[in-house]
Amino acid sequence: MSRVVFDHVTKRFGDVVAVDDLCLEVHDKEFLVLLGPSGCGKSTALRLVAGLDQPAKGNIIIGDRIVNDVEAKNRNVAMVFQSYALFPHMSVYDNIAFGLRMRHVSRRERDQKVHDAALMLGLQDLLRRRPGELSGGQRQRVALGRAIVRSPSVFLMDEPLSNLDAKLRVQTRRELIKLHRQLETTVIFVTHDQVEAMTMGARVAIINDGALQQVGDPQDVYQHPANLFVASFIGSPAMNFFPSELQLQDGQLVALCAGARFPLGEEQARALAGLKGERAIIGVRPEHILLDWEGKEDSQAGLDVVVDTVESMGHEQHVTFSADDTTVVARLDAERSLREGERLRLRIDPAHMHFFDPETGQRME
Amino acid sequence: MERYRRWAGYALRYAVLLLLGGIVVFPIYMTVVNSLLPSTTIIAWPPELFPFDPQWDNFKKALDEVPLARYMLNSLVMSAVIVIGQLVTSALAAYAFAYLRFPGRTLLFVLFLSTLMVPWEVSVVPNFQTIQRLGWLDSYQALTVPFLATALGTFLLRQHFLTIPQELRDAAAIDGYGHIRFLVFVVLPLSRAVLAALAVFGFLQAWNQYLWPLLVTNEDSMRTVQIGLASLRGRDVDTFNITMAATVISALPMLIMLVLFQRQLVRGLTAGALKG
Amino acid sequence: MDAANATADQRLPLMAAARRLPQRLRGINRLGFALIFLVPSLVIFSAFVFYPLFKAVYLGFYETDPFGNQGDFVGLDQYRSVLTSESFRHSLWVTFLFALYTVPPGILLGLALALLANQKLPGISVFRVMFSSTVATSVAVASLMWLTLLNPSVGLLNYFLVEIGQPRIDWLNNLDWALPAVSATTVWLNLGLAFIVILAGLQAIPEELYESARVEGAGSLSVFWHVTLPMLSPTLFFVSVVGTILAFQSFGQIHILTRGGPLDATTVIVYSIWQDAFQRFDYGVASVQAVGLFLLVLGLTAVQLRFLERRVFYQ
Repeated sequence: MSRVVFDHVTKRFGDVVAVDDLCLEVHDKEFLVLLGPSGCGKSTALRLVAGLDQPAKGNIIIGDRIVNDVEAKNRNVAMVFQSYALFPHMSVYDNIAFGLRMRHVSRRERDQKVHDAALMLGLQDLLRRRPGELSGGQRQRVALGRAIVRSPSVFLMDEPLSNLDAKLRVQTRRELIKLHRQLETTVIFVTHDQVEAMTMGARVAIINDGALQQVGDPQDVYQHPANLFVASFIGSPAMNFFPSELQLQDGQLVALCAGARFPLGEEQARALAGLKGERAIIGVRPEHILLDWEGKEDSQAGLDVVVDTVESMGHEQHVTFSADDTTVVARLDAERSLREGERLRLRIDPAHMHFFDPETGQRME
Repeated sequence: MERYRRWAGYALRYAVLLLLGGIVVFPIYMTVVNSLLPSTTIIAWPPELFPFDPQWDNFKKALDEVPLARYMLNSLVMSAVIVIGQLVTSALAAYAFAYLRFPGRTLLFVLFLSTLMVPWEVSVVPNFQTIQRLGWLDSYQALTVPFLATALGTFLLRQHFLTIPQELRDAAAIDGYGHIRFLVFVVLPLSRAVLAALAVFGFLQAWNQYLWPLLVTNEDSMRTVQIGLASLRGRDVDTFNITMAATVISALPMLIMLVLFQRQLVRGLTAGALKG
Repeated sequence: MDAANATADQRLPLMAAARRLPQRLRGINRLGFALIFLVPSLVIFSAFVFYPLFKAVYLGFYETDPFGNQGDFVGLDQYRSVLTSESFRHSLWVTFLFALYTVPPGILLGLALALLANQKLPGISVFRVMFSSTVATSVAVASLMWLTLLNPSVGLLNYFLVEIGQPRIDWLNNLDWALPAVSATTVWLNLGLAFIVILAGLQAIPEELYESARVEGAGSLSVFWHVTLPMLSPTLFFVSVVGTILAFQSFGQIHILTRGGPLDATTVIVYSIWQDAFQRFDYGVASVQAVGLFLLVLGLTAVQLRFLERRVFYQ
């Protein structure tokens, strides 16, 4: 059993709280991604599991035991660093074999394991070379090899793909997913790139300012962001936000914002029924912003905007609109090309409005 | 239990650091102590470890009996001139080796480096004769001119210049910069760390010189701190406190600079100036 | 090539003009221009490094009269007689011992202190200043400081000896202890600089390498042997080569502490050269020794480069 549990873990550096009362369980054999902006504490959390730092409060649990006081080398974890941290003066073989040597594994067994790992990663021909002679991608695989060869209970990866160029990154992503399926070991993967997180993780844990914002599978996090931060962090282009007020009009709950009146979808109207007169921040993803071509709909349920910039993506276009003091970004199909300065009217898909409390930023249900 | 072990570990580490630091600093400490002792106590046995009756007068006496101010001025002028001279000559030479293409460049560079193979002490006799013939004995020229060029400085600066991106050179050329302007306004400002490290070590080396100033200066007015202090070695034991006071005064500027610039010193070295 | 440089050349008239000259003249023109940058250094080097080297060899071929004037030409005879003389071999031995007493201990101590000062403890800068403090003392200052400590009647070293029941030692006048005493002073004098250089080398080692080793299961000793030492090898090599060269050039502390005595026990080669040249005015003999020193340093450096550099790892 190699699950990892953060049990009310807090870590401070001087006055700065790097990890704030983190409660998170990584299931056995799961591929969990820790996602968040730079400096949010995700790398610190990873290092706490590795044993490179000690928590100020709370417990780190690996499997069944509390490992707070267990040294890094005795935790049976392997870590792949962002810059790979390969020993530049050792050959690829020696780099991979290092951990086994430290654990006094017999030479024959060592040799066997190193060759197995090298084969798995396509490094068989590079064993005599030094890291300085390898490309970035090859170095990364050596770092992986070093991690795999010890058959650890947990793999810790700290932004291992960020030093690779775009194409290699995509390729390596797929290889890592395959590798995980092959090895069946728990993986905690840290990244600031949401695309990586969404494509790789069975579950994604989003962290900001040391605190866990939300954890769930990628679809869930995308469709039901738990607060403003998650809503704005996940999804590209980012979600649009409109400060609004909920009012009752003609017996229907509507949201007044940006000079327009948007009716709520049925489900939401029911859920937020008791909040008439309250203020809320409405979040709408760019793909749920619709063009109101003929103005057929209720004239007040639309937003009058002017086209600001158009970015053509080929299969779709990302259009930035401006209205008074707001900007709206929409993803529209590329059928009709829009020009700068054009005046249009926008609608919001009522089934896809997210409501957030303006004070706490939390999702309003 | 773990907490306790951790604190004990810390205590041990600090104890070792303190002990070793104490041993290293000990001669300096004793010198300061001795400089403040009265002449009766300085020859006492067992030796006094703390100046309970500090004789601040000793410093005044030291300055009166020994022309320390003059010595220090000479050392300062000599070291400053040498450092500035070295920075100028090595920056110019390094620029030529890094940016100019001319026939015999490799040969001349090797020639420069070969000077590193010749220890100063080997050339000391003929150099003395040269200075003598030029009539430069007992002058600032004698103390400074032979040291105005440095192959090590040229080498290090050239290495650093080579790391400056080609785009800067191209941009400067488009903006109409000639070589001198490029050197002065672009290259040198980017080489501040290396220049600073060279300046510091050059100054230290110049300040520390012993054999050469011994040879080329005879007049008290031209002697440097090293030679001036050395002449105090033969004094009687009971005036040791004055000797120590003179030593403290001479060491003071450097010690203060060290305390203030310790971190820059280490950083200047890690700025690639001394890799391999 | 020309298209890119065209604009540049419009603004650098000298270079543009040079480009229009025929090939060979262009080369000379470029050399001439470069020489402007090189002349200051070249003049100094020629006058004070190259010329004296040849002059020293030349002086060795001539006897010198008691007044310091050049005497008869004796060719290689003087070289032979001086380099095989008892006194030269003695000073060679003293110099060798001196280097042995100062360079390896200097490196080991510098390494030990640097390792200790590389820890992330609060207030570690204080200790770094303490360890590097000898950098602020110069040859004369350090020698005078130790002169007091080594003083037979009032020095602290003898006080410690007496406290543990041993007889006092007149360190600097004792045939067995003079050289070690001078060596100790030298090690102390150079400790600050060695410490700073090695510490800089240590700090250049990426933290991640240590962490990676720890996670892989390396204990402190293994980390030192497999990570620290290899990564530090260029620095240690540098300190070793430079340290040896400097050891062979030592003069100041010997001149102040022992004047080469007692009975030439601390007469290193440079001191012998100084004595012959500036006390006995025998420039011929002195020059031969100087050339000998030159060849010795050259040889030693070559040996170190050959044997030690193999174990150095460069990135």
